[in-house]
Formats: sequence, structure tokens, C-alpha cells
Amino acid sequence: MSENQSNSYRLSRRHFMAGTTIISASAFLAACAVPAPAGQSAAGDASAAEIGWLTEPDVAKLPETTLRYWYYETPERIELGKKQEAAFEAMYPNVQIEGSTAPDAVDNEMLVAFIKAGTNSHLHQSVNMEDTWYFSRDLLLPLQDLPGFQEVMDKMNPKLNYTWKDGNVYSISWYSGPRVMFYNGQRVREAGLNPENPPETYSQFLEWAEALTDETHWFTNLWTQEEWWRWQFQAYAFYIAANGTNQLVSEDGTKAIFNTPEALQSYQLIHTLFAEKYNLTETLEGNPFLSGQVAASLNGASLMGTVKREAPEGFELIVGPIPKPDDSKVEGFPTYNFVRNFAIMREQAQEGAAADQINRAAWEFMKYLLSDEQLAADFAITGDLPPTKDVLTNSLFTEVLQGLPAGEKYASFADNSYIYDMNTTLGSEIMGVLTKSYVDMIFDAKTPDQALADAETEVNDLLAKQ
Amino acid sequence: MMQATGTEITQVGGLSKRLGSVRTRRRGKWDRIAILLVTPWLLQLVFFTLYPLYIALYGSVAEWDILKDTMTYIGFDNYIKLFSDAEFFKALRNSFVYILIQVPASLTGGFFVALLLNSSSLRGRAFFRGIYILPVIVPVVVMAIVWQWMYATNSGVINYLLSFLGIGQVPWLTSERFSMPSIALMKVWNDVGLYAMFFLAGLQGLSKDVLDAAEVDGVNKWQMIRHIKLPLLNPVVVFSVVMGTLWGLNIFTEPLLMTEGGPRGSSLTTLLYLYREGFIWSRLGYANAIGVASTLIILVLTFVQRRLLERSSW
Repeated sequence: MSENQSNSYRLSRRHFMAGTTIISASAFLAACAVPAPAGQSAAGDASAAEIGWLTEPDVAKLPETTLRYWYYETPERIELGKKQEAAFEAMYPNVQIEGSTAPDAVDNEMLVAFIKAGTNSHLHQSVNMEDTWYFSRDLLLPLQDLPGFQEVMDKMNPKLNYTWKDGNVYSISWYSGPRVMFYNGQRVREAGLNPENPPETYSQFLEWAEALTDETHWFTNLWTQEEWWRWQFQAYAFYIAANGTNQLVSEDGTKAIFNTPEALQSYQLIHTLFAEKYNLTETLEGNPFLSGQVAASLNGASLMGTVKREAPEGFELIVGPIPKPDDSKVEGFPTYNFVRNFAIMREQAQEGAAADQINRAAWEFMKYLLSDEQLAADFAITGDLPPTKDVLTNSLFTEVLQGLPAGEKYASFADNSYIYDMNTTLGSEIMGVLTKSYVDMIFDAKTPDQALADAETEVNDLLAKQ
Repeated sequence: MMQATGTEITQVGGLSKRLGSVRTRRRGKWDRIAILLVTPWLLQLVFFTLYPLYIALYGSVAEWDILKDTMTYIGFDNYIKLFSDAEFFKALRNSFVYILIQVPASLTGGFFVALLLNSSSLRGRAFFRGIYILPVIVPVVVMAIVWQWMYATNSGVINYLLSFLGIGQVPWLTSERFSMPSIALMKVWNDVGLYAMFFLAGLQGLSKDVLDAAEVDGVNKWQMIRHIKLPLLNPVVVFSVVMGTLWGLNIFTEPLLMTEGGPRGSSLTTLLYLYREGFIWSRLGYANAIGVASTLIILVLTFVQRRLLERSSW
């Protein structure tokens, strides 16, 4: 090889390596850097830091601030979200909301990626057992010291909110849906049953099941799938109705306490529904309740909206309680209430005053969305109940309730309803175990008592490893 | 023979050096351009292949909390846990059940469809090619929903048709016994057209001389397929089996949508299990260990398949 050749090759390799390194480093830096939202300096400024934006009572005094907000779930809610964003910006021109429809699958795996990239919604639509996951990673902003917090909490139903063991409130309920039994009035009448007296005990419930099941019609359509969260929608209401409490874990969060005689009775009831083929082991197509394939539906508030929008003319909706064991000593008819919360995901990319401004603006927007008018607007389009104390008396809500089939009777169950047990940060994991126990039981792999006992052992192992 | 003088040799040598130098200059210039052109690909390789690979390998021996930004080395704990994890082995077994049903059935179906589509006597060949390729382009979500309806125990069209044969209601997706085979059968429908395309391309590339010679030798149709076409299509078979196995071990969306991996984990696949561990339960280190173990299994399986099939004399 000549000297020229040799030089030529060395030069190109060197250039190549240097170029590659520079480009790689630049790309890396570019990827790591998160641009500051418009109107803010990335570093914040010292004078602003002294102001303490988080506790500033008047949000109009904030410098120009941009926050992100995702609206989602239904087209109606997305439309409403856009309107709410515009109305809030008109009230506070210094706060810009970068609103967008939430990406798909944002309830779980995708959210992590967005949080990591600093592009997630500042105002997060959360649920209780997910809150624990977020705040144990220091992602949620405690709300109790923010201006106007007490006014907001004063109107909320306290049973539908929680204060975590560290004294912080990380989220506030936004909408709710107590689980009750809905029945198809026409099918009930055809079977010679009295729609005025829906079942309250297990034996009455099974009498109805027998009367409302034939070769092509079934009583209920409880799910059989096994994603971790399914248990809360299928078995938890029966558990609470039988036990009179939502507690699954001891208050100190160290021990499973769900394996009770009452819980066993509730599992036995569910097992009977499947064993007697009152409930199929497959989810029926479409909406089997509206089509009359099943006569009863364990469901929440959204079913009333669905009935209003989609049910055939003359469809009669009957609301009944979650039945209790015949010898139950539990007062009234308690049930599970699925509640969606608002939480503030702390601004991650910026620190100091710049982050405080965003968090403060997010809090103001949260308060706006939790105002009676906005709760009523959401209620009107979805049928999901506002989680307030005055849901049965506030004219903004009663107006909507009266327009919903069986609305007022349904809403009366909210008073005796419970949110998910908040004694541990392992709520989701525990529900995963319980869902597995439920599936094992309905597919006859385990007897109800075995299923509960095994779940108890597994949950205790989980809690011990904590 | 003429002998070159020393002067001539020197002159030729000088010319050669000058030409070499020109070529080198040109080559050096082209090398730089070539390097510039491959740089984006190299960067892509570094950032999107090698770096994730490193993270996957290191993550598999670490406890990784992506939001806390912590990655603590824990040795082989994840692998030790993996090898005593009944759920992982259940998922692995399900994946193999799927492969054992889906790959041979799709390949056999694809091969015979390709023979049919390659036949010069078939009228409307272009139409049928379109028909068979249609399932391949159906979005997986649509396919899963439609097949869920078809598989419905009480109202599905499959059980309705089977009832004419006196076969009772089969719980296709709601029994532990049938859930994985049902998903595999759906994917056979989906993939037959794809493999038919592979085989059709192979058949059209076969030497006409060989086929004519075989005909002259008096082979019948079956002998032609069995002893002439199939051996000549061996590279296509190897490719299809290897890819089918690979795709089979990576099946994810179908069980997620149709059964959520159930009932009782009977259609849980390795990838679905990895997804749950990593993204539902945020056990990213463990999920990486599942990923690495699955990759190793795929590598071994691919190697064995290639060795067996490439040697096969059919």
C-alpha cells in the first residue's frame, strides 16, 4: 500500500469517526433536551421563585403558562374537553392549555413513555389504585395546601375520596358510578316477576335467575376475562354488599383480610350463576342487555346513558341493589363505586418557579373542571354521576338525573357506596390476584373456598415482600 | 517470447503507480461518500438496535424502575426467578402449541393454494390470487373481532354450521382446551395467502427444463410435486418455517384481543406475558429477562430448524 493510499484511508476513517461521534452526541443531547413551553424560560428566574406560585391565590397573576391536558374516553367527552379548554383560556388568557385527545392505551403502558418524555397530561384522569403507583414514584402533586382546596373538598362526597397515610391528598374524585343491578323490565314482567321488588337477598336473586333463564336467554353477563382490573367490576360489589366494607387488606397494609365467611358466600353465589348456566362463560356480542339476551346487568352509571341513547323504544330499566346473603346483618345495600379522579402529574422537565407555575395553572383548571357547572355538563353527556354530596338536591344535577331512565333511584345508591380499598400501595397487584381467583373459580379449577384461600396466601406473600 | 527491458519495466511501473494513485484518490473520494451515505444507517443501528440490545441485556440482570430512573444490578436473580416461574413455562408451552398447529397448517395450505394458483388451466388466476391474499391485509383488530363473533359458542356461525353435522356447541375461546388452537386456526386462515405468495414466487422461479424433463420421464402429478417441485422449493420451505416459527413466538395482539390470554392463562403467550410483566406491572427487569430468554429460544430453534431442513432430502 502506498503512503498516499494509507493517508487517504486514515483520513477518511478519522473524519468518519469524528463525524459519527459529533452527530451521535448531538442527537443524544437533542433527544435528552425537552424544550420549554412557550413563554417560559427553562431555568425559571430567581425573582419568580421567591413568589411561590403554587400558593398564589389569583391565577390571573401567573406569567404566561402552558399546561398539557388530555381529554378522552368518548367522543362526547373529547368534544366537551375542547370546549372546557377554550372557556378556561378565555377566563385566564395568561394560561394556555395544550389540549389533545389522549393517545391510545394511555391507561397503562403508553403513559410511562409519555411521563418519561415529559409530554404527558399535567391534569391526569386517574383511578385510586393507580394513584398509589404514581405517588409512590413521586409523580403526583399533593393538593391539600393549594388555594381553594377546602372549598372543593367541602362539596365532594367524602366517601368517594381518600387521604393517603402520609396526610396528603393526591387526587379528587371527578365522576362516579356505583355498581348496582339493572334489570330489563319487559323480561321481568314476561317472567311473571314483580319489577317493583327487585331481589335483595341471594335466594331471591337466584329465583329471578331461574325464572329469567332459558335456552337462548340468560340472567346475567358477568365477565370472564382475566385482565387484572376486572375483579373490581364483577366481584367487588358482591363482596362489599356481603361484608359491609370495602377493606381487603388490614389498615396497616400488612395482611389480607378478605377471606371472610361473607366473602365466601359472595363467591359461592357467583359460582352458582355460572354452574347453573344463568351466566355464560363467554361475553355475549354487542349489548346483550339492550338486546334482551340477558335480563340483568351488573353495571354503573354509564348504562343509564347507554339506555337513553341506544335502547329500543319502550325499554324499561329497573334498578335494584346488589343482593346480600339471606342471613346478612349488613345495613342497607352497600356497593362498590368506580370513581375517576383528577390528579396533577407534577411538571417533570422544569424545576422551581417554572414548574410551580404549571402545577398551579393545572390546579386552577382542575378546580374549573370540578365546578358544579362543568360536572353537570359532563354528567349530561355521559350519565356518570358527579361525586358530590348534593347530587340528589342540586338542581344542576337533578335536571340531568330526571332525564335519565331510573336516574334518581340509581343515584340514591351513591350514599352507601365505597371506593377501592386504599390501605396499601399494592392495590393493583392485589386485584390481579383476586381476578385470577375469580377466573379459577368460574372455570371450576378451584372451589370458591380454595380460590379465596389461595388468593389470601398469595396476597399475604405480596404484602410481606413489600 | 519478447523480453521487456529494464527501462520499459520502470516506465510501466511508473505508469501503474500513477494510475494506482489516481484510482486511490478516486476511491478515497468514493469511500468518503459511501461512508457518508451509510452513516444514517449506522447511527440507526447504534441508537435503535445496539443501544436497546444493550439495555435489554443489562436490564435483564437489573431491577429497573424507569420512572425513578434506577437500574440496580441484581445478578441473575431475574433468570433464577424465570426458571421457576410456572406462568412463563405455561406461556412458552402455549406458544409452542400455537406454532405446532399454525405453522404446518399454514405452510401446507399455502403450498397447495400456490400449486392451484400456478396452474395454467385455472381460469381467473389473478382474481383468485387477490382473494387468497385478502386475509393477509385485513387489520389484525378487525380480524380478531370478526373471528370472535364467528367463534361465539351460542351464536357463532362456526357452531351453527357444525350443528348440521350433529356437533354440539364447542366453546372455542372459552375453554382451556380450545382457546390456543382456535387462535392458531384463525391465523392459518390469515397466513395461508402469505405462504401461498412465497410458494408461488418459488414455483414461478423453477427451471422449466427440469419440469419438462421430468414430464418426459413420465412422472405423474403427485410424483412431480413430491419429488421435483417440493425439493426444489426447499429454500422457500426453510424460509417459511423459520419465519413462521419466529412470528409464532411473537404472537401478541390476537390473544390479547380475543381472550386476554385466558381462560386461566391457556392462551397466554410469551410476548403477552412479557408485556404484562413489563408494562402492566412495571417489572421491567423481569420483562427483559423474559425477552432475552425468548430470544435465545428463538435462536436455538431457528438454528435447529435450518440444520434439519437444509439437510432434508425430502
